[in-house]
Amino acid sequence: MKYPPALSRLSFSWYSENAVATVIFAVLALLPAFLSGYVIYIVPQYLLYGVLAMSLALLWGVAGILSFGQAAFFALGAYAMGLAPHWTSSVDPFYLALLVSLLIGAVLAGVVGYFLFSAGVRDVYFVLVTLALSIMTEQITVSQSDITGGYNGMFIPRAQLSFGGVSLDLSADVPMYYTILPIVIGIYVLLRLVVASRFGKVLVGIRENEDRVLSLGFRTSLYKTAAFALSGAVAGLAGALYGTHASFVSPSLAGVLFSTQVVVWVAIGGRESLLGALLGAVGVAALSNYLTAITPEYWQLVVGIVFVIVIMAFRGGVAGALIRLGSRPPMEPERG
Amino acid sequence: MALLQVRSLTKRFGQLVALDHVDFSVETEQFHGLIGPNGSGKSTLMKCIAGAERPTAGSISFDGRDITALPASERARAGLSIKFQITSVLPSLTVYDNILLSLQAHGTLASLVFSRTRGELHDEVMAALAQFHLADRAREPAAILSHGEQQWLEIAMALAQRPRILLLDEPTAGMSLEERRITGELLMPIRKRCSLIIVEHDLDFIRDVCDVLTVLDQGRVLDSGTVDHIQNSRKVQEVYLTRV
Ligand SMILES: Nc1ncnc2c1ncn2[C@@H]1O[C@H](COP(=O)(O)OP(=O)(O)OP(=O)(O)O)[C@@H](O)[C@H]1O
Ligand SMILES: [Mg+2]
Repeated sequence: MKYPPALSRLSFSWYSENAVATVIFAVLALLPAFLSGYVIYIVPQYLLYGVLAMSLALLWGVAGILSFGQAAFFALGAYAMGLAPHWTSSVDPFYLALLVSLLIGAVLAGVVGYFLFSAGVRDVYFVLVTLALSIMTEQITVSQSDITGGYNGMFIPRAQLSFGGVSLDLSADVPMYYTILPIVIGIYVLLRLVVASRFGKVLVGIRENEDRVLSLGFRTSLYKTAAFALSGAVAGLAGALYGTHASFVSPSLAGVLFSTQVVVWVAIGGRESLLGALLGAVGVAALSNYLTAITPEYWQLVVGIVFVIVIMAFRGGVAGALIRLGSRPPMEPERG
Repeated sequence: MALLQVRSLTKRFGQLVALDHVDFSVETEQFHGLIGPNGSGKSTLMKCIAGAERPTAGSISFDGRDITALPASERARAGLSIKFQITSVLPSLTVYDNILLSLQAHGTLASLVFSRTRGELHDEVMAALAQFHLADRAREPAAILSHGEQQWLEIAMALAQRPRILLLDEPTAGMSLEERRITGELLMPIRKRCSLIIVEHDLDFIRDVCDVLTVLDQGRVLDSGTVDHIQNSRKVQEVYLTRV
């Protein structure tokens, strides 16, 4: 049997990922002090892509369930942000939209997951259903054009936050940056804790050998449903924030292309690590953005080639390769 | 009434009849050995009992309750624990966590997330590991244990669930003589706690451990009875003992 990187994953990688994450978040927190303009505008968007990627890493990297439906939750979250001002005049629509996006993601994923997982739908069949979920969401947002603006999409004004007399205008980039960054960090920390919890360990067990976990007595379909619901909630929340940040949402946000991009980010970044997924999204989104500018015809080709190279060179993505690099060489562990 | 009662169990894989109207029963606190040549259907019977395979026909009842249609998780909760023939510890989890999860497998999802019992469970986990000589490997991933140690870990996992029947499919396969001896010793204290169904090719081992033997051959029960009875059974000698 090949030496598994598990030892490192549990000891080396836990602490070193924390250290790397702390440094990265600290740099991000200080960034607006040194930079301004486009970077400060665009980084929060990449980070929200990163949250979307983490929602998939939880599902795919930890529990072994690949979903092509994450974009659907993301898009629904963004539409919730756009529509929330129509629903209420008493509550701040921004907070309402965040709550609704969380709930939509959790409930939709929870219901879909419950029926699929209790029926024993696994692997590629699950992928297909989630793909269909994306396509359906895209179609519905197109067809309900009275509400959603159809193909033309929907303009979303940037939120004005107010808490206790203090008001914050998110139409400026720096306040937006400092609103989104802590939420991203918070979600990262939360998901890290989930993965390290006993619940997370059951998910790892399900990935490694679901039948074994089932025969221990775990009702695995409930665990998978819970993981999917959590992942849907996180994706929905990220989408709501994306909506207000981008000030725009259109049906393509739920589409197959975007869904596939999420999978590519996570595969390149490394699905075994939440930070890898986050940085994979940021890196690939930044690269795509840069390439669109210099070679509008070929950027997708270049990203595709990067994808193939990374996956062929290291199946665990960049983070997986780093984890293996950092782990001790295979040897018999000493006893005692 | 028997604790476990298998009636006329048949399992087909396409054309192949792996189990052919098998009747089989285990009493409370009985140690029941299941022997037979390769491919005779021993593992298939174990899997059908544990719920990992669905029988084509026949019924299984446990403690007076028909469990034929019950999923594996519910059988485990009712008190059936299995160690499969192919060792299947959870490789990237630590030895410790393999036991920890086994201890909690019968709880609810909410209790797993919210309970603060981790400290209390610690002693139980360590006791289980100590019993199987694995205490000093607790923090290592299960994957790097030797084959024999993985077998012990699996037995420890199965026992951690406080089963009423323990199913062990070839627990000593690939073990050294010394490891086999230790395994036999480890099984002795279980006697007071639960019944056992054990599949083994090592006849000396099974003679030492079991009260009753059932012999399978080509998916059928060839004979069943006490160890002495089986040893003197002409049918068994003809079909089984000469061939192995
Ligand atoms: N999933 C399966 N699909 C098809 N055939 C199977 C399957 N599982 C078992 N069989 C067949 O059923 C028969 C009984 O297999 P089983 O594993 O129960 O035998 P066994 O008595 O456990 O043998 P061994 O001593 O080698 O472990 C064999 O012929 C085997 O090839
Ligand atoms: Mg077998």
